[in-house]
Amino acid sequence: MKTIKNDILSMDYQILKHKSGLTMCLMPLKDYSSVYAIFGTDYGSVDTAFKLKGEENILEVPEGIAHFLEHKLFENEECDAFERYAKTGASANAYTSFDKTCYLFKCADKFPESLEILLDFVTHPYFTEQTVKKEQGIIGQEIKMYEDSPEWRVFFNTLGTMYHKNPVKIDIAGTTESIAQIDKDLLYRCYNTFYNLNNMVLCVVGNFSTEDVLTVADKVLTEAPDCEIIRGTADEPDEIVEKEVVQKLPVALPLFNIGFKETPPKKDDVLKNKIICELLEELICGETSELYKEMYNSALINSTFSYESFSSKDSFAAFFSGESKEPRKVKEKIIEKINEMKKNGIDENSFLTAKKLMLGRYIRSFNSVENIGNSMVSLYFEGKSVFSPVDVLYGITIEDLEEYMKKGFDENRSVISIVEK
Amino acid sequence: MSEFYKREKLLDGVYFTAISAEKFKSSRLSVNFITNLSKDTASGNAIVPFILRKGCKKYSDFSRLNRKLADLYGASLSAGISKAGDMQVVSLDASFINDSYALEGESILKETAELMIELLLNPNASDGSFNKDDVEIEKQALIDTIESEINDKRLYAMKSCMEMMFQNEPFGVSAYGYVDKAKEITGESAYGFYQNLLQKSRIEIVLSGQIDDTSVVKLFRDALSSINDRKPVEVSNKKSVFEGPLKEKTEEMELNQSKLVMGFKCVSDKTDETAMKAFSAIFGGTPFSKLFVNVREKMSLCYYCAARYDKLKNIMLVDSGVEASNKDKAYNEILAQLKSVAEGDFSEEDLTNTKSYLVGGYKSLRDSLSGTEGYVLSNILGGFDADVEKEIEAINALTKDDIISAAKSVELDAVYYLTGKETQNEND
Repeated sequence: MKTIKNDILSMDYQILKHKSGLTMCLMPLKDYSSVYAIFGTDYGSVDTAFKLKGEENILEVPEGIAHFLEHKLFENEECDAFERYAKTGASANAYTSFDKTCYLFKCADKFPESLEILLDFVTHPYFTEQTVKKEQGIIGQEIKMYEDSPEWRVFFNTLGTMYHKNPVKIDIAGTTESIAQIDKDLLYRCYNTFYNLNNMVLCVVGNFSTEDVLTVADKVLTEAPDCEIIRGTADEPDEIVEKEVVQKLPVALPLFNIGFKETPPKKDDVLKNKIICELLEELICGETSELYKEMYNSALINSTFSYESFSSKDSFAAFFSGESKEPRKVKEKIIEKINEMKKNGIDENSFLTAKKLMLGRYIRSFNSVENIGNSMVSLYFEGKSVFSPVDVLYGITIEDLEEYMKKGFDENRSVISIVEK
Repeated sequence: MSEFYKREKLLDGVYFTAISAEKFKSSRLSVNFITNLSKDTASGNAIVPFILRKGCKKYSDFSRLNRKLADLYGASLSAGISKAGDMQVVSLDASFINDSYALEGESILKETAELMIELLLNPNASDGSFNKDDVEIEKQALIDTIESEINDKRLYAMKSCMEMMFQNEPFGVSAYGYVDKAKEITGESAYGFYQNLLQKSRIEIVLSGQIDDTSVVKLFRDALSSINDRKPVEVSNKKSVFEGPLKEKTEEMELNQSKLVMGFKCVSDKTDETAMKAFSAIFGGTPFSKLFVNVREKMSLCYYCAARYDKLKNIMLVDSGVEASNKDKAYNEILAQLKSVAEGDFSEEDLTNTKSYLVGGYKSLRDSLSGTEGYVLSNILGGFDADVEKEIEAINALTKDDIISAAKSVELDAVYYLTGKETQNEND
C-alpha cells in the first residue's frame, strides 16, 4: 500500500494492488456522510481496434460497442443491477467516454452491500441475443436524443472535421446502423479483453473503511490472468480535414466550437500540456483578458463562452466554445490575439494571476466526493495521482508557456464548428 | 430549527443565514433578492444582477474586476435567476476558497464580502441610470437567454407544460421574463428595478462553509442599513390545487426524439408533502420505480421517463423522451402505472427501498455546499423547516396507505407533446 499526500490541500489517499490484480485508490473522509465508489476500465469509444498479446489479428469492432457493453452489464440472468441497488439504497449510474467506461454509485448507508453489487455485476457479464436486441431499441433512442442536442453536435462535428481517421471522432454511442451489427459474441470478446482486472481501477472516496473494501473484494473478485492489450493506432496525419463545418438545428443563437489540433504529447507529458494549454487559453481569451472584455462588450460572445483542453489517446486539442451571432469573427479575433502573443510574449503578472485562478479552481474541485472519485479514475489511467494537477501547476513557468506557443495554436490546424438554424 | 444553520434578522426584511460546513475547501456567499413573480417585473429584475456583475465604482473595468476575482484564487461571481414557488429569486453568488488555503494569509472571505457589497451598493451608475453600454449588452444577453431556452428540448417541454398549468398565475411566469418586456429595458428603467430590489424586496444573505468570521454579518448589516427608504413588500407562495379542465397542446419542431410531459395537480391543498415526495419517487423517481421499470425497461417505450415533485407548488410532472409512434402507448401506460400505485399495487419492499433511496439523498445533501445552500434557502422561502433529520424521520414513518392517499390525490391537469415532423417514416 502506498500513501500519496498533498500539503497544500492537507489531504492524502492510499493506492494498493489487490491480489486479484485490481488496483484500488482509497480516500476515506470521515467528515462526509456519503461515499462514492467508481469502478472503471481503460476502454472507451476509441478502442475500435485491438487484440490481446498472442492473438494473430487485430479485431475491428462496430462503433458504439463500449457504450453498448456498459448498458448490458447492468443486466444478468435474474435481474438488473438497479433492482439490487434498490435494496441497499444506493444511487447508481455509469458512463462511457472516449477512453474509459465507469460504473459508480453513491450511498449514505450499507456501503459494503452496495460495493458487493458493483464489483459483482461488473465482473459477471451475461449477454443473450434477446437482451442485445432490446438494448438496441433503448440505445437507438439515446442516439436520437444526442442527435437533437446542439451542444453535443457542435462538439462532435468539431472532432469530425479535425480528424481524418482518429477514432475519437466516432460518436460514443455509435449509430443505429453500427449498433445493429453488435451481437453477443462480439460483446463477450470485448468484455474478455478489456474487463480484465489488471486493466481496471476501483476508486472510493468518502465515509467508508478500507477493511470493508478489502473484505468485499476478497469475497467477490477472482484473480485475473495477466493481460497485455495491443490497441490499434490510427494513422492520423497532422492536417485537419475541413476548416469549417456547419449544421442546421433549431437553435436561437448559433453555437460554435473553435478547435486547434495539436500534436499529441507523450503520455507522461499529457497532464502538464493540458495545464499549460488551459493557462494559455485563459491568457488568450479568459475572463481576465482584454479580448474577453472586448468581445463581450461588443456582443460578440456572452457568458456561455468557455475554453478547455482536450486529450484522449493519440489526440490533443484546444477548444473555445460558446454562442455568437458571428462565430467566424470570434475565431478571427482569437487567432489575431494568438499571433500577437506569439510575437510579443506573455505578460508576467497576467501569468501569475492565471496560475492563482487555476489553483483556486483545483482546490475547489476537492469539495465533492464525486469530483474526487472521477478525477482519480482519469488521472490513474493517465499514470498520475489525483493531486498531480496541483503539483504540476505549481511548477509551471512562463517559459513553459512560451515553449508551447512556438508550435501550438497553429492557425493552419484550426477549425470551427457551427450549429445554427 | 436545526443546529447546522443559524438565521438572524439584520433589518426589516433582511436576513442573514450562516450554514456551517467545515469539511469543504471553499465557501459560498449569496445575496438573494426575493419578489413576487409578475410578467411586468420579471425581466427587469432578472437583468439587475447581470449588470451589477459587470463592475462597480471601485472596479469599473470588467477585466479589472475579473482579475481581482482571479487574484482571490479564482473566486467565482455569478448572477442567479430562479423561481421558488410564486417567488422570483435574483441573486449575486460568490464561491471562493477558504482562508486556510490562501498561500500568503490573504482574507478571502472578508475581501469577497467587501467586494460584493461594493458591487451591490456602488454600481457603475450616474444620474439615475446604469452605464448604457452595459445595459444594452445585458439586455441582448437576456433576450438571447430567453430565446435559447428552446435549445434544451427536455427543459423546454417541461416549461411549456407548466405554462399551460399556470396560465394566468405567478408560477406560470418565466423566471427570466419575456422578450417584449426585456426589449423595453433602458439604463434608467434598469436602475429603477435595481432601486426597487434594494428598497422593496426581501433580502436573504446566505453564507455557507467557513462561517466563524462574524465580522461579515456586521459588514452587511452596516452596508444595508444605509439603503434609504427601505419598505419591504411581503412575498408569498400558494400551493396549487386542481381545478380542471384538462389542458392539452402539441407543438412541432425539427426533432428526432419527441417529448411528452404530463402535469398533475392535487385535488386539495391539505396534502402531506413528505408523502407526495415518496409517492412521486415510487411512481417515477428512482431506477426501480414504476415508470423506469415498466415504461422504460420492460416496454422499451422511452429512453427516459421520470416523475418529479415540486414541494412549494405541490405539483408533479412526468416527462419522457419517446419515439412518436409510441406516444399513445406511453401516455396510456404512464396513467396505468399511476392507477396501479393508487390501487396499492406495490410491495412493502418497494416502499422500504424507496425510503432508503430518499433518505440516502438527504444524508448526501450535506456533502455538497451548493446542495446544502439550495436546500436551506428553498425551505426558508417555502416557510418550511430546513431540518434534514426531521425530514428523514418523516420519510421513515410513512406507511403504504400514505402513499396510496397521495396517489389518489393527484389529477392530470395538462399534457404537452413536442414532436418531430418526419416521425413515422424514420428507420423502419
